[in-house]
Amino acid sequence: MGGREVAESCVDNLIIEMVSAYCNRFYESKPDLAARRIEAIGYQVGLQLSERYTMERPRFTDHLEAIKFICKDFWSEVFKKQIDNLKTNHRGTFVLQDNRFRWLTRMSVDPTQTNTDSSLETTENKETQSASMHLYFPCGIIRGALTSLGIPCAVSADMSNLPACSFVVRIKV
Amino acid sequence: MLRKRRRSDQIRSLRPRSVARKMIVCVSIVGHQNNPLFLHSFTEADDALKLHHVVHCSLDVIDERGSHVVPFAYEINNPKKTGSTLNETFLGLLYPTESYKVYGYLTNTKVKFILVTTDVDVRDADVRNVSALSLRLLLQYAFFFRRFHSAYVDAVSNPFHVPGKKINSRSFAERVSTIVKSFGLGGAV
Repeated sequence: MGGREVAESCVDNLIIEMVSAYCNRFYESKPDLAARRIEAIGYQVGLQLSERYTMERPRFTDHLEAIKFICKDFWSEVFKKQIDNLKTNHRGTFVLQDNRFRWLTRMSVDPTQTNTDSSLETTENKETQSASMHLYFPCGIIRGALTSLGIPCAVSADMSNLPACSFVVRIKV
Repeated sequence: MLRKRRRSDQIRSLRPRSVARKMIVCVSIVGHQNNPLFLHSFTEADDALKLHHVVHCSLDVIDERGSHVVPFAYEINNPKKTGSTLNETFLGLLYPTESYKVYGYLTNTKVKFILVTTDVDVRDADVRNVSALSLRLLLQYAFFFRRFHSAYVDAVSNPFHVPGKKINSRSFAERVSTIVKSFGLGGAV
């Protein structure tokens, strides 16, 4: 059944369209709800993908091994590159940093804007918010993949300097 | 022409009975919370309940064999004690009953694949090289499980499938039947 592929631009378009549909059409006045719905879609995709990508490998023995799998094999299957930096506090929090996150490379947030003007600040906030909307889907994917590997967790994203972006995984004890 | 075909139909209908001794009786998938996802019996008899029971009994053995991801709190307190030697997906023979043998396969995502067969008389078939024979059989089972697993992955990748719910896909059932049938053919024991 191998060899079934789809153009990357199609996937990009689908995700952009999905995010915009949830944010601007279905739940225009409730960004929280839209975020939760997008995350839920990502969660199911993560469940399915991890089932597929862990098929040929022996079972993981600890959390770090599973996280490493996400950083290396899983990430290169989904984004054709590995996570650039992995940090952990050894207490159940992992930070996965991608210096050039594929789904944000074509996103433009104007960096020249100064925050002095209040009206400009609101527009920038809006832009940041719409960019962060695009990160709920990959967050859901990571959470779904880890959950199906038996690691319940919460995932959030941080994108202070685009197109670099980091995902914070907090494992629930 | 018509008569000929009828005769071949007859032969085909007779065959299962003679091969029935080492046949796959039932295949089953159990989810990570030990929730049944799929069970398909390949006998004519109405024994689904009995097979459910056999499958259910094997779950304890799987729990014992499969190394689970250790609870995080435990991992912090005992950093050296984690990790198990056995983490292959194919678990081999789980346990033999009087009439069945049960084989298991545990994936990374804690989904269990269980196979109930009636190959109890394999040992009697050839006494001289038991080990070689059983090794070959085990490899066959491992191969079977791998195909079964990939069929499952394709089935749950269906966007209309709800994770954790029973698999009601007809094409999946057909694919599993094909795999089971080809196992019977390839199983030149």
